[in-house]
Amino acid sequence: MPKKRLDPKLRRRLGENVEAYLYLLPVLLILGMFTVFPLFRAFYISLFRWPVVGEREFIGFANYLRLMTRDRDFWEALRNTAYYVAGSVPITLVLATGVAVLLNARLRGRVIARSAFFISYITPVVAVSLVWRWIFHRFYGLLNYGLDWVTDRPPLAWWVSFSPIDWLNEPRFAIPALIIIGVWQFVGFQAIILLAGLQNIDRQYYDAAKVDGANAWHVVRHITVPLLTPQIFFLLIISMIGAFQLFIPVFILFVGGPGPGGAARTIVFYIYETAFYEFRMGLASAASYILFAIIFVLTLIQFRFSRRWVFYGG
Amino acid sequence: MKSVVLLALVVGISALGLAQVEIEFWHAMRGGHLETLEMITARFMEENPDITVNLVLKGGYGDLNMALIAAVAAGDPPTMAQFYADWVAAAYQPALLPLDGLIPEDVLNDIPEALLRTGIFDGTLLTIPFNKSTLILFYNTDLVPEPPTTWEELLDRATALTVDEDGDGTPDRFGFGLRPYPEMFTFLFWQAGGQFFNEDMTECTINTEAGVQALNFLLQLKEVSLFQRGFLSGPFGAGRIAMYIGSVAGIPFVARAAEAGGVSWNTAVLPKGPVNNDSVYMGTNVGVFAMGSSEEERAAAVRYINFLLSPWAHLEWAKGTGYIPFRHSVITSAEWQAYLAEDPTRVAVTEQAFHGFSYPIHREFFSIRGVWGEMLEYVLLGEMTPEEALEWAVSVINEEYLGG
Repeated sequence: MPKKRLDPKLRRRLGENVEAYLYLLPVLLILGMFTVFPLFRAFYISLFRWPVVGEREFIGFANYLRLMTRDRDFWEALRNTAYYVAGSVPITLVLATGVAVLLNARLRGRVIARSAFFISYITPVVAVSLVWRWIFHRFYGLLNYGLDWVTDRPPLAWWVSFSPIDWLNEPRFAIPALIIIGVWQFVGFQAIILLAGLQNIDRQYYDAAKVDGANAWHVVRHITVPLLTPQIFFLLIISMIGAFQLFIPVFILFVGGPGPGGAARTIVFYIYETAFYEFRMGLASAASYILFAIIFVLTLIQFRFSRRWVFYGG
Repeated sequence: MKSVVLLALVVGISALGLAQVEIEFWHAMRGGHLETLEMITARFMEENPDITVNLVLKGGYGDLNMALIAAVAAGDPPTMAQFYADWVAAAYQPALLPLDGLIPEDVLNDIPEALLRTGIFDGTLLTIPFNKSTLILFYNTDLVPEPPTTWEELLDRATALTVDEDGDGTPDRFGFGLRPYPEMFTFLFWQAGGQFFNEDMTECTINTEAGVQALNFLLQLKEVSLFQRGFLSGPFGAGRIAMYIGSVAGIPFVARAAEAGGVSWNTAVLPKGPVNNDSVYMGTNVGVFAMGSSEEERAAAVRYINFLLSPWAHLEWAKGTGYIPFRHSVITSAEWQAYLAEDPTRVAVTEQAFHGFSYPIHREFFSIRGVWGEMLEYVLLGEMTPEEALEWAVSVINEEYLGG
């Protein structure tokens, strides 16, 4: 009986695929080892009382239950994080849209302006946070100095009087301070993405609008913004995910602590403290999974609603 | 010449002939501290040619701790490391080598009991004091000719020295500098005669008159203080604050800042509270891992720790790093006294070294200390009265961390 041979076409395709997978192998190994494996491992750990040394005890979902029902710090961290997300995401997006429109206009020095806005994004967060710690200083900080200068002169001086804000020592200013840093840091990046979107909008639409007698507001409202919605949606999702994971600025701004009275304890900061200072790996893993669930659900909701307002061109 | 070569050969061969043991010491000592540690370790290896000590700098304490967690999880920790007491109580205790009987009695008796207690876990000696610090008063000698010796004097001086020269409502110079961290409360509480817990550590007992006294004093002090989260050596060196209470570990930073700012300064023992003028012992201990080490390695590590405690090494360590000398025989030695004559800023450090307390050891201490810190902030920020804050802290600690 003649030996059954593979169809040469199929064989070639198989060979190509094997080659492709070989190229992918290194990255798959790295992702597998450092992303996929820890992902499942963390879930496994979250079901245990997991000390650094000694007996590990399977406790089912008790860690989750503890977090949801009686962990004061975790709930505080949730509230703080929600406040940060609700503040930083929309403010950044609105400002970035404004900046993008300005950068798109034919103004002098816009090339320099584009780079300048982007610098805040590529500067290391640690360095940025250290500088902001000085800017926020109650007595010697640039921000209070600026606010004092502005409110000391007409027209603001007629209505307001300013006394120095203790940005880093008063609980109610802790999250606003973080929001200011977040906005400052990401406006440039978001503006560049939106700028790319703006430049992709076909001029024909504007010409047609002009012919139909639309004014500037109509153009923005009915052409620019709708055609920019894919970029806005993309930024909304990634900035929300990023905002939920806030950690480094907290760590630097509040010198390794959770801020005044714990007012800047974010969820990731809580996870860090729980794992590496309280040595509760199980509880910290469970908190990570709750954070994951929150981000996941919110992202799903946004995708669901996006059908109503995101317009992917014609 | 020939004989010298021969001798070298004999010594070399015999050294090789001894069984070589290599141990690793994971630490977080940087800059000048590391130089001193390297110098002492080199001398140890010279005297003990059969032992090689590899000093491994792991970064800051946080980095060291994370590296230890990973190493212990993998079952392969270093032979020895630096530890905070609460790390041991919460994590590493089961993996450490009991040191009872391995350190000579006369050495242990030479160390203040309160300090030695930072290494005893459930009755077993697991770690030995290493780089210990304590709080002292830093004062600007141009503004404060004689340091205050009581709480009242401190407050009076600080009030008198707080001045607003340009009249803009913000003082240009503060009498005192205040950084909100738990020890600012705990040492005052202790000085007022407080006890942190009941005997069997099932209840936090700071909600007492001593607690109220400590917090009220801090509130009064805050009125005449530069209140900030960052370190105070900078403002002190720039002459913006006349006094502050901080760790002796800050001495090199103060020296540098004061030199740049042209400020002359000195240190003093802490002003006395209602009961005593004790400070709190801070800093880390060293311990040996029983996990993953051979008997030879453990023996070598113990020999190295004993060397660190020897009079010569202890003296050099204290001189080179600014950490407190804690062996009584070393402090009273002629060498140390001669050194004090050279550096007056260390006189108070030496005296304070024997007036200290250490925190009780508990698995949840990190969290408990965190609650004390939050409580302090609530009071200083005017969100709670001292009485309310103490009651709040005690209820949180008892419910969440002491299983009440």
